[in-house]
Amino acid sequence: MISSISFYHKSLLVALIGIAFCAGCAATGDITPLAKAANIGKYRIAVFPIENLSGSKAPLKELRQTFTERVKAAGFDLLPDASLNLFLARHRIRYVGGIDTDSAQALAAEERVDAVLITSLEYYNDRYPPKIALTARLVSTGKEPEILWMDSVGMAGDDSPGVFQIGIINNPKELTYKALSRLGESLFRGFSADFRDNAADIAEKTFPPRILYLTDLAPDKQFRIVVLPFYNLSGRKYAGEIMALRFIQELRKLRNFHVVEPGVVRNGLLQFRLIMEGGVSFANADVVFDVLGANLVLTGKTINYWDEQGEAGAPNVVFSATILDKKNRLVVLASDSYNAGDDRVMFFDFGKIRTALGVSSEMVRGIAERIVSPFRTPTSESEGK
Amino acid sequence: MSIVRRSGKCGTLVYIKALLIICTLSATGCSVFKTTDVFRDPNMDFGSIHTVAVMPFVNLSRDIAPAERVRDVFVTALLATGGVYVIPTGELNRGITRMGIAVPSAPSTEEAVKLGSFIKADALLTGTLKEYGEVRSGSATANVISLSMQMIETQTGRIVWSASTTQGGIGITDRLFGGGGEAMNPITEKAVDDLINKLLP
Repeated sequence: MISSISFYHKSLLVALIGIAFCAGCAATGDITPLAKAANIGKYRIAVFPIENLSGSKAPLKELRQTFTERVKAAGFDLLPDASLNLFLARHRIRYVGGIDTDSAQALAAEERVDAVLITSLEYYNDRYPPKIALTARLVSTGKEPEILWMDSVGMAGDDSPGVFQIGIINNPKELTYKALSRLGESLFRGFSADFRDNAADIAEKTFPPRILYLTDLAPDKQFRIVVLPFYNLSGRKYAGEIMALRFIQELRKLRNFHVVEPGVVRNGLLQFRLIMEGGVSFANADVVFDVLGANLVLTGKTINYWDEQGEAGAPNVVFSATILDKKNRLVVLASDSYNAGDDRVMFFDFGKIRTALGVSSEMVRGIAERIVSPFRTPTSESEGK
Repeated sequence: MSIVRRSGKCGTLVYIKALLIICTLSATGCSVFKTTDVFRDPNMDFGSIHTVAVMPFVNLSRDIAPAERVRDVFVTALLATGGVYVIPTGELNRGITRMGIAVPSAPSTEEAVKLGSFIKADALLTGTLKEYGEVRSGSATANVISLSMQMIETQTGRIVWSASTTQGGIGITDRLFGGGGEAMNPITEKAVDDLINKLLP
């Protein structure tokens, strides 16, 4: 009798594990069931057209359509395309890589939108192996636009070839769907966590900067930072804007850093006709500090930002960054970084990073890590060569 | 038999002598190289230099971009030493424009003094990128960088320090096994470190 009860308990346990496992799979594959649980139907988002920073042709409408579907599947209330197009035409908004204060206020007042989803396509290649790199951020509307959530995804069809290459993705649409689904899931997780970055979501691997000068960025101080587009010396179009996005994404994860929305920065620079050929002078920085209420300004140079086409080769990123401080009118951070996607490869492409987005993210994360703990010594385990 | 033995001893002695001569010559050669590529003004108090500005480099290499890249690495590395503060590039550019310096890579004595007082720099560093990129010798190739720098003191406009360095190039392993030598970024860093060691020994 005892043995039969124990048998039924065991069966029940196995069944429960099975159900839990299936539920887990469903949660990662489709975000709809999770969305039902959360009350996000009242949160209204306007999905801006995708900004093309790839420097080449890409199916932007299809990408946006897929992303909209994924966000909608997460349960968010989306502003209809017709209303969004009318709003953009009415306010003559042509720049979709950010949102300024006036537009954010108008969007909140006229369309009752809570936040704007801004997406930048950084790389798109539909030849084998297909590759895609995207960065998306959610910016609040109202009096002062603030970045609520930001994430990026860089994927290649041969990221996980697996046994007998069964994991290879040949179809660019399949890869696109996977990348946009991941962004959608991340947005949903961000919303569920009240837009507070989850420590588990922060990747551990970093490439430390090759040369770093760091002073006066103590973790107990609060900073409001403006990230300016980098001066682009690379052959890749828009590499300066892409590097700026990388820094925005990583710096906003630091608790004592508040990053000003790039749309607001752009509007300020245009308003005061600030042209910073060859670097930021203190005269220019003073205007930026006053207009945008910041106490730090970050700028830099993108020397190389290269994505390899095809299977061979590795992406390569070289950049330098500088932060100017308002209070002391001094450079408080200067760094120089260079890395390639195969820096950690010891054998058989194991550990290879296949997109420049992946490489640059780890490089910038390496700098952010030093800002948090400046006296940390590099460990070869988690960092590049 | 005895004749053979004698000639064997004699041969060994000749080899030892030849080896000693080669060692002496190469040691002399090395010492000569080390003493000629740095100049330091013995009357200059280098401890009084706290702020410097790194002027745009003269580019004698084949490409256009490397001079800016090398200057950038030099500025960051010099800052990272903590020994001196380097004026930000944008602020320096503003000074160059305001002072109307036509050739910023080679300022005259008056220009150096004026610029120094405007941007509040104790010294200006000028540089010449002599070589940057791939060199070829027969079937062997490797990357090389050759850079020389000068420091101009801004109170008098005198050159108080000058040094040069060459890193990379075709080594014996490149000749024997190929491989193309080291990548450009690490040898740029080595060259910059070498110059900084000569500036702040």
